Amino acid sequence: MSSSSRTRTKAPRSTRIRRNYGISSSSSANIVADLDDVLLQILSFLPIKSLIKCKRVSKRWRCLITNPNFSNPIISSKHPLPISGLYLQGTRRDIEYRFVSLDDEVNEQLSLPSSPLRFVDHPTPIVIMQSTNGLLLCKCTCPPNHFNRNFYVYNPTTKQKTLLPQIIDHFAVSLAFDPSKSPHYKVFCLKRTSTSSVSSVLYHLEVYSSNEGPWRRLASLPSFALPHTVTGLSNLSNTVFWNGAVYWFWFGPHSRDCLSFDINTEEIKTLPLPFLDHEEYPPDVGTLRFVEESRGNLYFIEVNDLSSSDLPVYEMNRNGSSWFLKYHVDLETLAATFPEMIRTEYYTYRRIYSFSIIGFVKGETDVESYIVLHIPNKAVKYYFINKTFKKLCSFEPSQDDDDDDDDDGGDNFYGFRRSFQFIESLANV
Amino acid sequence: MENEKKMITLKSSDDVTFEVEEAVVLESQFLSHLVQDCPAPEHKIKEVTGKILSKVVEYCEKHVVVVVDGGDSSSSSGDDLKKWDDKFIKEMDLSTVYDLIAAANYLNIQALLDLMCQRVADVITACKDHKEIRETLGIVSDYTAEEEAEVLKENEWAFD
Repeated sequence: MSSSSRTRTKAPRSTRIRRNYGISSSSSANIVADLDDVLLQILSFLPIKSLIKCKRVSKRWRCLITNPNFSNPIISSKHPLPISGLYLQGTRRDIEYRFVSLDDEVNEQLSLPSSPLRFVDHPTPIVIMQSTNGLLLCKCTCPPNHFNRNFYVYNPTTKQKTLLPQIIDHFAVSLAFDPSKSPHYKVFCLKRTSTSSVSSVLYHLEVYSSNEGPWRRLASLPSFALPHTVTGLSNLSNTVFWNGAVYWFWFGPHSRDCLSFDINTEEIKTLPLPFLDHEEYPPDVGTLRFVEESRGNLYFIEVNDLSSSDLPVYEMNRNGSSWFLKYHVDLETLAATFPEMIRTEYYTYRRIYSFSIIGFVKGETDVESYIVLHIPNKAVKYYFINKTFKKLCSFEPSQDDDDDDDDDGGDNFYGFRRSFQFIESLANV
Repeated sequence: MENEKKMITLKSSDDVTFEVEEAVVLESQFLSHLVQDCPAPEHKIKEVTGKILSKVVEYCEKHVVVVVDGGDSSSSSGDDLKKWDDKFIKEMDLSTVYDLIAAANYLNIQALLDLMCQRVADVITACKDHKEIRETLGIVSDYTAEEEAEVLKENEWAFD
């Protein structure tokens, strides 16, 4: 019937009604249900969340929704997709995560205790390394490759995953995915060049691409040296994909370095980070550092003095050359409502704020932009422009292994140190 | 000023007639071809009932951008039109929406089709789960119990 409905010669409507009547109130319901283009048009108006629900309606709906010809244009037209939640990495054990929804309506029930994150049908827990536009770069330690060599690209919405070809001796790995540009993703691996001598250690980049396959060395890019402050550190601190480039961040006790690689021009650059504008050496230098991409912008926060009520937020300018001061968080406003944030430091008797930074969400307008902070037993949203805030969820102290020492006032607050955006996406991996 | 406007009569499947200006008819690609191909004063649309055709005509009369030679006519500003659209769909039950989708699809009126599809999408979005979507839209699932369980597993949180 679908093909004939646009032609003029057909049986009178009355007989068609009798033939097709059955499941709904009118024959038109069948026309709507039968015509793929009409149904696709209806589906294209749906938010991703509803589309995921719709996959369960019928096989035909599922088939239409998961077809890349439908999902790829939808994903790119709805870009940037909203951040609907955060995976918070355990405060004491790296492999434990807690999920917090950012949807104001569904919060309290989701403040479940931390637990390991697993793929369905997968024996060992996974570790999230990066979240980019709905896809997660993860690793796990299970066979076939041991020692953290199993890297996966995972879509937590569709539960689809891909095991990347084996990586040996990686120094840093990063995922690049921008659904508004391409439905395919790339993974970049920073590796030590084996031929380099001990006196001058050189590095190069290898790339894996979801449409072109296995790791290959980027021929256009000669080997390069890394700053000694970077090579002295064993772990990459953070990695983000922003504005067509991957960024690797290394934060040491007395150093902070950022390397960027533009995936189009294939240029590698070191990126300066905002200056510390303190007269004296700050007492808590580098206590907290936070980097996040949101809605096409890159943000950086560094806490160097826990007694300061001002928390500055830096934004990267569009061409990726320098940072500027974008927002301030007034911690005193928060502390007036949540006095548990304030404590006296054991040794110095300083009055300090207890918090960690777990999320940054750029809104459609400045007024809707907010930061998510972990304060003792709670997560709160703080809106920069209006200086208003909202409790997002509580972490029950009874089963909370994160800040069980809080109430005796002795230890420093130890909040969630890393978080990963959860963005509902239909992207294929 | 008083230009003679060409009038065309549309007749529904149940013989309800509507006399409309030609410009209104041109909102529909199907009808504009029909009018060009056969210049009769009256056109029978066997696929659409009087009830639905009256809605289609109401919509097209509102949306027709009249090229006026001096003086204003029925062209509305975008905001007013949007308000009118909202009111137009708000009062409609789902079976009328379906009938209009079928009619707009048949008559090839893209803007009306978009409006109606958006309305169904809103209904779907308001449903709390897939079962409610099936009930509301009258869809019979073709999943077997095993397949259903498989899809459910796929959509679960990956937490232990």
